[in-house]
Amino acid sequence: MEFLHLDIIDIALLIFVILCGTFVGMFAGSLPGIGAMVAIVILLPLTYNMEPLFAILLLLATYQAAEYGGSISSITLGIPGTPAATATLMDGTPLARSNSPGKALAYSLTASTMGGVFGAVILTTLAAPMASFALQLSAPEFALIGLLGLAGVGALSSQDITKSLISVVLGLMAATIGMDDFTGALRFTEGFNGLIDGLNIIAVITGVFAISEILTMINKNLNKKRNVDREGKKVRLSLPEMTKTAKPMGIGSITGTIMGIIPGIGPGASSWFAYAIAKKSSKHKEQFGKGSPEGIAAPEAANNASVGGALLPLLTLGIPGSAATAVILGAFVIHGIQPGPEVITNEPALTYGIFVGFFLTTVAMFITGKILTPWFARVLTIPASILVPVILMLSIIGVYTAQSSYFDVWVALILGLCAFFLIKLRFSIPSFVLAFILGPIIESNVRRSLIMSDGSYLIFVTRPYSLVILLMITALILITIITKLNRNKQETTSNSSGISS
Amino acid sequence: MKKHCLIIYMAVLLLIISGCSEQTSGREEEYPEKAIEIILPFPAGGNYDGAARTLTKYAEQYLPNEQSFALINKTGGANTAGVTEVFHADPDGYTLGFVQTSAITAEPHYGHVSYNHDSFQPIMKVLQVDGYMFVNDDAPWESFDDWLDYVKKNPGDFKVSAVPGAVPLLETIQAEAGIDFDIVPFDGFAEATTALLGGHVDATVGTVPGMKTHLDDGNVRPLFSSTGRDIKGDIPTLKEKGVEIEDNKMVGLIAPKGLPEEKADILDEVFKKALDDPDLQKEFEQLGYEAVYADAKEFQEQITSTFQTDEKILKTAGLIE
Amino acid sequence: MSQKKATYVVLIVLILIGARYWMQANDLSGAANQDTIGPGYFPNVLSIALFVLCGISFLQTLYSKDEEKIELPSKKLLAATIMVTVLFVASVSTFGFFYLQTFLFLLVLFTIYRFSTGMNVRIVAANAAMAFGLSLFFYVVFDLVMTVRF
Repeated sequence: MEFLHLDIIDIALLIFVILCGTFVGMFAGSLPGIGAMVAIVILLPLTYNMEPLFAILLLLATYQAAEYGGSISSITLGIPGTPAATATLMDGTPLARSNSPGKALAYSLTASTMGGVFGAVILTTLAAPMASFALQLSAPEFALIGLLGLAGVGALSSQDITKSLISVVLGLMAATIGMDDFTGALRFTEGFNGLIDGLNIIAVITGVFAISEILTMINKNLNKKRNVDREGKKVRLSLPEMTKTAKPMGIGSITGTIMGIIPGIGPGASSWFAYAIAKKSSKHKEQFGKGSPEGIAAPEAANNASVGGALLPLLTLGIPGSAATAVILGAFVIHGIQPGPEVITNEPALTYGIFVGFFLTTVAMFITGKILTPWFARVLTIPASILVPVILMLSIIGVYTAQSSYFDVWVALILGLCAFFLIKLRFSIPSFVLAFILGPIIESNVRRSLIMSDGSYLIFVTRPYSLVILLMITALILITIITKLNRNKQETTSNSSGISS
Repeated sequence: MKKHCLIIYMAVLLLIISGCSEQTSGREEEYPEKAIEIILPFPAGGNYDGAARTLTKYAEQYLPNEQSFALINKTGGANTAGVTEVFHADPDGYTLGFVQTSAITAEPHYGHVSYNHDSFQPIMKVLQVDGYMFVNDDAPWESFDDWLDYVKKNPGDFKVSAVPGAVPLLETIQAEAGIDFDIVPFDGFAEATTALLGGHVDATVGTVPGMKTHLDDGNVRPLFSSTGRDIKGDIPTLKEKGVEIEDNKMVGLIAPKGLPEEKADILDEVFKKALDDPDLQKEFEQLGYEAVYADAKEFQEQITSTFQTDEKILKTAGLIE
Repeated sequence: MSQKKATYVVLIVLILIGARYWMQANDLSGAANQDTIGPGYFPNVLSIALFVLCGISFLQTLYSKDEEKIELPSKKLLAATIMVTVLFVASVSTFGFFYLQTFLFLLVLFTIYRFSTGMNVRIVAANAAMAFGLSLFFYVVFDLVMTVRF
């Protein structure tokens, strides 16, 4: 391997560069509103004068670590640091609050590392075939993947199914706000210019998760001392704890990689998918939402696996699979490298260097995370009366920073207040958010498909991959109905037997 | 005790910071005496972010008093949020905008922005980014005429993916050339391109910087351009082919109206020097950008004429009355 | 307020929002391309789905035996937080001076949240120090490093 031509100083320098990227990425990711994207853009100018390999790996390390960093604020503060870390909040926050912040972070770090490694393995071994697979998917498949995700909403719903469904519809409605891509018509903007591009995702998730959580915290006793015992701060996982989460980690890794490869789905949706699948297939469904380690492991593995996934079409086809990879593509181009089918044959040294270095980024993330996690875990020992103003301020700044817009801050505050009351009435916030993310994917791709097919709905069954997804949706719905019926039957028999006795 | 130490430490820090800023403001009287903010109406890493960052990196070398630029991404409102911010800023030379002119030439026609095409003090045009129609390299249409022939014979069959901003132009091309093809709008340029590479659509419209990797790999080739100027190479423009349409995508620096002339001159000089820097030109070329300078007066004339063309395009597309 | 009453209120509000949404959806023009559905199609389907679901939820609430009450034990703190936050955002977006106002905002919040623990010089000083330290942190990270301008 050409990689071995580097001398010892180069390797030391490379490791230093990767560690720097990891640190910046983790820090930026943990700040709400600042994600992988901003961290990469900030570092980009530094890479202009570096060797190409160093430049690319610095950015990749940043990207990788930022995806993990997002979960730190999800878990410790209850603010989703990045859209991709929103699903982590579902179980991360409850587990951290129930005296084990260290464990919650440890699960997230282990899962992130596993996901990252899995993504790297797929990237190094299956790059070419996976890339051509991704190219065969288009609008009809994307629309159906969106519908499939919506069908999985059942896994996230609260006790009240009707209210969960209302939440879904509200999420889909919220997603239609803004300029219609197809006709340029302004939909439901009510004359606000801030709504032309639609509701900002950061404003929505910060509002419904963080602001509502802040209000809930105020509603409880603010000055109660939290007792996080020694055990709770520990960030070591025992072997049984690791094996317990192996399955959800696997689910997350696979889902994340595949969703990462497909351009236009995004890590936000993929971590929710992983969460829903992990819950459906878990033996301890009832623990989900109350601090289940499995509920942390699946989405965390997914969002880091999507990093490797997103790099795959970038390296092999020159297509960025996410916004952050679009910036990395810029870095490639600046250094005179054209990602594409020929890059592996034309630039073998660089390609293998990237592959090996990409593994190193996951290692660096694990080590840095391990060192920093105990410090993050301590955040929760701070009394709520101090923590709440900090979270509130971070939320406001985070929302503002995303688009430099005070309008978005108002949106977040209003949505947060609404969500606070709706949660009390058992409406489902996760269903709302998932529908908000999936809404545009479904609507625009259905409309796109119909243009492609000259108006025929047959396009959804005549294409092999869309047919497969369609069958999966049908199967999912059938299974749900059958299990429902079975349960009802059991209940009625047990009820009737109760009456007879 | 610890807390007291912390307070003292903070106080000292504050003193140092305030001391620093006073020093710089007291030493020099000339413009610029502090960092100049440049508002970018697109997201970090998006559209012309790379060009803006490259340009300011070089321009800082020529900026008097060793000052610097602070780039601020202010997105939203179909690029109008950032432009509106420039419109409302003080014309003191410390707030500029690096914008694509479509936000000034097309958006005011919809009537939802507070500015117009002549509401700004242009500094200079920096880039001209021509739009092209790209097809896959193995596509059957070898030339513009081949393509026109095919589309005329098979109305509604040819499918073009496009970002929403390019849809009105495509509609106008159909109306002007008397042809009929399907437009498939995509949210982003990457998605539109992917649809082309996967063979789900027949063509896409886009710019050279966006297509750079695929052009260099030989996966796609341009059929024609919609630009109004003469371009290098043998790619025909619509105008040359008798379709009376021109669409000039420009990117340039603007300032709020009322900027003092001497400050405008300083800025013009600084950025012009940067644009003439061979290293910058090399970097731009790698990114696929072409630096095309025009001074303030000429830039304003081009904005005004594009404003009128855009009105025609939007009317033809039925988007405005 | 009881769960039931609150649910009725929310459902009515949602139906009103839905009605407005539905009316606007009907005003949207059709698609430019006749092959596909227009911009009003999805919103139309969604508003009808909302009406149906709200109706079902209304009936379910009517027949439910849930007598649970919604508890808001810290009403005053909640109201105070919302008021101070609204004032802060309104003031910052009109007058600027972001970091100064951030300091005051944090100081006010620390003070009202920790009021029940008793006020003395040490606590006031600690509150001020924390508010100052945080403002400084935000300044360094967001203004100096990220060049975010408020």
